[in-house]
Amino acid sequence: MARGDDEFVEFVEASSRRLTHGAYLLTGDRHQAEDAAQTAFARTYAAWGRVRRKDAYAYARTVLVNHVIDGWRRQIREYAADELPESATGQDVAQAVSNRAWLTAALARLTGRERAVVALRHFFDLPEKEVAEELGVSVGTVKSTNSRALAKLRVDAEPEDELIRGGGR
Amino acid sequence: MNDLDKLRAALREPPEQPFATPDLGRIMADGTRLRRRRRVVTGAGAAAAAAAVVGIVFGAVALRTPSPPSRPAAQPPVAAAPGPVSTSTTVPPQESRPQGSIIHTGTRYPAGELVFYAYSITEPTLPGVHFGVMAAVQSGGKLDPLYANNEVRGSDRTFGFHTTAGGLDVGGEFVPVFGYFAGPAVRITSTVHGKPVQAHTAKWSEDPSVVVFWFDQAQVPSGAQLTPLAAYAADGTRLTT
Repeated sequence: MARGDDEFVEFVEASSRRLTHGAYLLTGDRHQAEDAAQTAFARTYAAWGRVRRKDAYAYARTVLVNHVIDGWRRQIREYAADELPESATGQDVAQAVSNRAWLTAALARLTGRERAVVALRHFFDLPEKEVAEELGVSVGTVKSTNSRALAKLRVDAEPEDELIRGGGR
Repeated sequence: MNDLDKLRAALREPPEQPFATPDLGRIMADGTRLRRRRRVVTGAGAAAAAAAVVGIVFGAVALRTPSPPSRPAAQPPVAAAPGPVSTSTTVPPQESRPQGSIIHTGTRYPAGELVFYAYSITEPTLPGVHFGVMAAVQSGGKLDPLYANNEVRGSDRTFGFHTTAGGLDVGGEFVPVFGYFAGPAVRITSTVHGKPVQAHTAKWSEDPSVVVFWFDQAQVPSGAQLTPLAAYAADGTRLTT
């Protein structure tokens, strides 16, 4: 086994569940998520000599997000809807927080970019500035996209998330 | 716990069925192949003064193919996981030989001019893919491949946009967002932050129905900023929905 492989194996074992879960939130499809994670890990391994002493997790996450976004760009013609959709289920997140079906349906109402912002901001816990860097957009775009996404999800945000519904709480 | 906390809790809730464990053997084999491609191209450049890699040459593709029956002996043991098999593979290292004419961009880097060219792909797992597009730097007669980009699903010449990549630094040189369109496109556009942007285009000399496009770095520093691409024919007709 090459030098550094032990570390890489540990890295994959430690991070695969979270990265694959993140990919699932981005794609909404577990097979695509597993493929995306596999590809991200392969590319990370190819660059392991460079990234192992830096932030390998951030590198893998960036590769993963870019891979998923490229897939969207080629497969999906999507346009952000300005209007909020009617509540599909009639459920509120406060009433059904652990309901996977709710989450799946709710995320499916988001555009790709909105899903990405929600996943990076609220699953990967990245600050807005890093979300902006990851997606190559401005912080303002992250804020507005996040607000729109949370509004579609009918989630009240914290003040720093600048929710459009009454400025959060 | 407010709504946002509950959303975050819901996002973190593990799936009902656990995700398949990554195939470490396949990951390391694919990663090794990616590294080897970089070295092979570098070696070819040194030997023939024709090609060298100044950065990463990517070409990983995501496919769903059966997993190999067993892992190589050198691979570390990993827990077997039932469920769908996912894997990725790469294309062979034929990137250093341009197929047809080199496309000149006029963009100058200290190391030379940014160019694009098509290269041949022979990959049994990609029977419908016969070429990819390489971003490279050309200085004199020397080509330094930067970033390989190819279709990874179906046929490489089905009508429409194919793989789009770039928008990143490779070995200190910027690889712009680029890709290709199969069809009679003369204009390719998108928007960034609401502003329209237009790509440069050039037909591939080997097949004029293949239109290579790329965006200026100043206008499109990252592919993630683009809204869906649109292609237009010579009469102004929009070719894509």
